[in-house]
Amino acid sequence: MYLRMIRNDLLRNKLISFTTMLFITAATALVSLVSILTINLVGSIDTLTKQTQVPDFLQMHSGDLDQERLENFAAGHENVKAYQVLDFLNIIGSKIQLGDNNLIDNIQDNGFTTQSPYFDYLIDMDGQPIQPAVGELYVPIGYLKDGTAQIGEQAIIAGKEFIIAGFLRDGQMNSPLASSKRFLVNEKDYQELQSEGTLEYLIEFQLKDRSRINQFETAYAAEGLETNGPTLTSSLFKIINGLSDGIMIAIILLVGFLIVIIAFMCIRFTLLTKIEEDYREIGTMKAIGLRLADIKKIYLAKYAAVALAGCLSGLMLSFIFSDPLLANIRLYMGESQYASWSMLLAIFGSIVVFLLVIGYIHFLLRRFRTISAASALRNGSPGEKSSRKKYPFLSKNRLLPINIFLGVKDVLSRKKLYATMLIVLLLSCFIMIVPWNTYQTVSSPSFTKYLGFGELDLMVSMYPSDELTENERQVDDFLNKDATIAQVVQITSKSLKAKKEDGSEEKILVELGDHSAFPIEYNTGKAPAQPNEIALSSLNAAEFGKQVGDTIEIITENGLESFIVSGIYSNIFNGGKTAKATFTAESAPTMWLNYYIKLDNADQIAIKTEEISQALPFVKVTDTHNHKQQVFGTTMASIKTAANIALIVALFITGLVSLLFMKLLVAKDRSAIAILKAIGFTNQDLSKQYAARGIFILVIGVTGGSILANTVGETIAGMAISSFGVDALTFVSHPFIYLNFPILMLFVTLLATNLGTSQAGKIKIAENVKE
Amino acid sequence: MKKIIDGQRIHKSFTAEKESIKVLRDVSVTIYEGEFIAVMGPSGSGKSTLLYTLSGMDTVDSGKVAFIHHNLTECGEAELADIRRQQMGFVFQQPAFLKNLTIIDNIILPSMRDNRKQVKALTNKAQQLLERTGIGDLADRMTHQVSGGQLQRAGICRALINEPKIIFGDEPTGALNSKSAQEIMDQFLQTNQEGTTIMLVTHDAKVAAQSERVLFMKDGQIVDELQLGKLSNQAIENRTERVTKKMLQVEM
Ligand SMILES: Nc1ncnc2c1ncn2[C@@H]1O[C@H](COP(=O)(O)OP(=O)(O)OP(=O)(O)O)[C@@H](O)[C@H]1O
Ligand SMILES: [Mg+2]
Repeated sequence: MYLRMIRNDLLRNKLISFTTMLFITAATALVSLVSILTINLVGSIDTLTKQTQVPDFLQMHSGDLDQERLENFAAGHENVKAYQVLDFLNIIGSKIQLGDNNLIDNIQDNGFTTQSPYFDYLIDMDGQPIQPAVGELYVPIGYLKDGTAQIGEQAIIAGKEFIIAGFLRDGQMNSPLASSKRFLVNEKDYQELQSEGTLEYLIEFQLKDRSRINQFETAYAAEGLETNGPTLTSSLFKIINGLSDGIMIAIILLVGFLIVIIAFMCIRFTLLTKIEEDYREIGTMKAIGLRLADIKKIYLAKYAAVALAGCLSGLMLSFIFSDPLLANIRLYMGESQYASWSMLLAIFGSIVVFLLVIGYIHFLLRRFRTISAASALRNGSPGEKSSRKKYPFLSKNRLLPINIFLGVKDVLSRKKLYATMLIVLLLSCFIMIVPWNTYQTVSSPSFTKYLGFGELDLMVSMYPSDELTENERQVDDFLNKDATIAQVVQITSKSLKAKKEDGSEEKILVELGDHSAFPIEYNTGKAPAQPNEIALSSLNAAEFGKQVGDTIEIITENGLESFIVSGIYSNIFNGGKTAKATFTAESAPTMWLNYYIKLDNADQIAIKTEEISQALPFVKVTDTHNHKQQVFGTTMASIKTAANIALIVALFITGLVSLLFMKLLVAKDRSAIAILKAIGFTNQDLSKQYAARGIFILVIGVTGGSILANTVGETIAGMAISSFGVDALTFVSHPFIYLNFPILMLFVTLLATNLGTSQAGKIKIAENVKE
Repeated sequence: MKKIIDGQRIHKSFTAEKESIKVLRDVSVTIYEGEFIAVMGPSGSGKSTLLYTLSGMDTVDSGKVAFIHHNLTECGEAELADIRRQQMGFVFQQPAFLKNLTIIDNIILPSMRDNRKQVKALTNKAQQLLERTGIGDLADRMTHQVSGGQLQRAGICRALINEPKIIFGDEPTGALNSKSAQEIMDQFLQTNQEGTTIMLVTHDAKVAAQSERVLFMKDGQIVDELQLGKLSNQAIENRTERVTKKMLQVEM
C-alpha cells in the first residue's frame, strides 16, 4: 500500500520531486567529488614525492662551492641520510627553442641538468627515473600542458640540436608556481652546453628524521656553509604542488556545502507545504486511529525514495565528472596511490548526505506530534492564522501601487514561508560573489602589493660580479637618461646576520633602499622610514618572534645594532624570508641588486624590456606583469573557471528554486487568487503581485548575500588566498560584480516567477473561491 | 424596464473523470434593473454555475450573456475583470477574504486598485458602510478574529464599496443561523431599495420569499418561475408558503 501511495504522490508532484532529487543529486555529486579530488590530490602528491624522492632540505647556491667542506658536514651530521650537489645550468630563454616556440618571453629560470645520482629524480610518466640517450631532451611537464612543446619535435638549445624525447615530472619544480624548471639531457650533451649558461648548485639533503628539520637548518647556517640563494624544504614543495588544485577543491567544497543547505531548504519548503495541505487528512488519519509512526512512515518513505535516487545519480555523476577534473592532477603528478580509497570515500560521503537528508526529514516531521485530530478537523492548518501581521495597513498606504503593496505585504505576513526562497537567493548571491571577488582580488594590480611587490612595471636585476661597481654606474646612467621612465629606485639585497631570542645568529636577507617609492601593503605597521627601522616578512617575524614595535638586533658594519620593527608584510618570493630597511651596509655581502622601474606609459613595457636588455647585457630584465601572469596564470585561470561555474550554478539554482517556489505558492494561494479575481483583479495584476514578491525577496537576498560575501566570504577567501603567503587581505571588487550580478539574478528571478505563476491566470474562480 | 443582464440559450458542461456532464442546458434568463431575484433548486441543479456564467466569472460553451451593453461572452479576461470590479459585487457562501489584510483593508481592496490616491475618502466610506451594518468597531480586526455572520456583513460592505449596478450572492446566508441570516437579508433589501439589482442563489425558502421573483432550476434548466412582487408589509409567512409549495412541485 505504501508503495502505491508513494508512486501516486511522486507522480502528482513531479516538479517538486524532481527538483528535490536534483538538489540531492548535486549535493551528493559535489560532496563525493570533493572526496575524490582531495584523496587523489593528496595521493598524487605523495606518489610524486616518493617516486622522485624529493630532498628534505635544499639550498640553492650560485658562486664557488667548497665540495669537501660540504661532504664533511654531511658525513659529520647525525641526521643526514643522503647528500648530493646537483648542477643547474641556467640558460636564458632566448637560447631555448622548442619546436616552433622560443622561450624568450618565459620568465621561468630554465635550467639544464643530468639525472641525479641518489635522489631527487626526474621521472617519466611511469614514475621511473629517466636516463636520456645522447641527443635526447626531456622537457618539464608544464610545457606539455601549455602547448609549448610536443614529443618528437626538434629543440635547439644554444645552437645545439636535440630531439624532444619525452616529458618529465619534477618533485620540486613541477608547479607553475615554482620559479624554476629543469630540463634533462645526457651527461655528454650537458658537458657541451656548460659554457652556454650560468651554473647554480642545488645542495640537497635527505634526513633520517624529518621532524627535526629546523635543527638541521640552524646547524647548516651555523656552519657558515654555502648560502648564496634561497633555502627550501620539502613541506614547501608539497604546498606548491597542491596549491592550484587545492583552491579548486576549496571552491567546490564551498559550493557543495551551500548546495546541501539549499537542498535542505527545498525539502523543508516542500515538506511543510505538503503537511499543511494534508493537515486535515493527517487529522483524519489520527482520528480513525492510525498511529503517528505509521503516518510518518508514509512521508519518510517518499523522501527516502527521492533521496536514494538523488544520491545514486549524484554518485554516478561525480564518477563521470571526476575524470576531467583529475586530468590536471594526473598529468602533473601521476596516478594517486589511494585511487581505490577515493571511491570508498565518495560512497561514504554519499551515504552521509543520504543519512543527513533522512535525519532532517525526521526532524521536520516532529511537528506531527503537535497536530491534534480535533483541531485539525475543525480548523484546518494553524500556520495560516496566528502569524498573520496587521501591518502595514492598506488603508494607510498611499505610496505603493496596490499590486506592489499586496506583494510586499504578503511577504511580510508570511515570513517563515518566504524565508526558504530568501535563504536560497542569499546563498546564490554568495556563491556568485565570493569566487568572483577572489578572482578579482588575485588578478588585481594591487595584489602584488600584498605579495611584497610594489606596483612596478619592470625590474632590472644584477648579480654580484667583479665588475659590479662599473656595471652599477652604467645602469644608473642609462636609467637616469631615459625620459620615458617615470620613477626608478634602487634596492640592494644584502645578507646580514640577526640575533635570535636564544642568542644564536641567523642569516637575514635585508632589502636596503627607499621603500616608500613603490609602497606595498603591510599586514600590520608601515614601511621603514627611519634608518633605525626595519620591516620583516611574516615568515621572518614568526621566526624571530617579533611584532611591530619590538626591536631586533642585527650585526651591521657598526657592530650589533638595534632596529625597531616598523611593519610586517607578506612575501612568497625568495623563500618568503626577507626584511626591508633604509640603512646602508657597504661592507656586507650583496646578494643582488634590483632597480624597480615605473614607466610613463605601461604600453611600452615590451619595447623597454628589449631596449634595456640590448643596452645592458649583464642585467636581467623582468616584466613584472608578465611575471605575475606566468607565476599565477594557471592558478588564476582555474579560479576564474571555478568562478564562472559558480556563477552559472548560482543562476541555475536561482531560476530553478524561484520557479519551484512560485509554482508551489500559486498552488497554495489558489483561493486567495480566486478571491482577487472575483473582485476584479486582472491576471496582469496577479503577475505584478508575484513579481513584486520575487523582487522584494531578491532585494533583501542580494543585499544580505553581498554583506555576507563581504564579511564571511572575505574571511573564507582570505584563508584560501593566505596559502599564497598573503595574510591580511581586503577584497578588491569590481563594481560590475555588484551591479551586473544582481541584474542577472533579477532577470532570472523574474523569468522564473513569470513561468512559475503562469498557471495563476488559469485558476477557476468558481472552483476555488469556496474555501 | 431596462435589461441589466440578458442570458440567451446558455449551454455549459463540465468534464469529470472523462465524462461530460451537462450542467446548463439551454438556459435563458433576463434580469431587469432594480430587480431582486432569487434562484432555487435542488443541490447540483446548476444554480451556482448559472450565477458564475451570468457574471462573466465562468465561460459558456454556447449562448450569449450580455451585461448592459457589454457582450460578456466576447470580452477579454482583463475587460471582464474591470467590469466585475467597477460594476458588480459578489457575496459568497464562505467569506472570501484575504487572510493577511484587516477587515477594512479587505473592503477597500477592489477600489484601491484604481483610486489609490483617494485612500482617505475610501476608508471613510468603508467605515460608514461598516457602521451601517453594525460592525463599525471591527474595522481593524483580522478576518479570523470575527464571527461568520460578522464576516458575511463585511462581505456585503466590500460588494458595495464600488457602488455596483448589480450584486450576486451565492448562498450568502447558507452558513448562518436564522437571526444572522435575517440581518444579512435586511442589508440586501436596503441596498435593493437604493436601486441596486440583486441576484441570490439560496436554499432557504424564507430568504427567497423576500425577493421579487424566484427562478426554479432542475437538472440544468429553469423549469419554473414565481412572481412575488416587491416585498411590502404583507405577511412574509404567506410568501414563504408560496415559495415552499412551488419548490416541492419542482422537486417532484
Ligand atoms: N469544476 C467542475 N467540474 C466538474 N463538475 C462540476 C464542476 N463544477 C460543478 N460541477 C457539477 O455541475 C453540477 C452543478 O453544479 P453547481 O455548483 O452549479 O450546483 P448547485 O446548484 O450550485 O448545487 P448546490 O446547491 O449544492 O450548491 C454539479 O453536478 C456539479 O457536480
Ligand atoms: Mg452552489
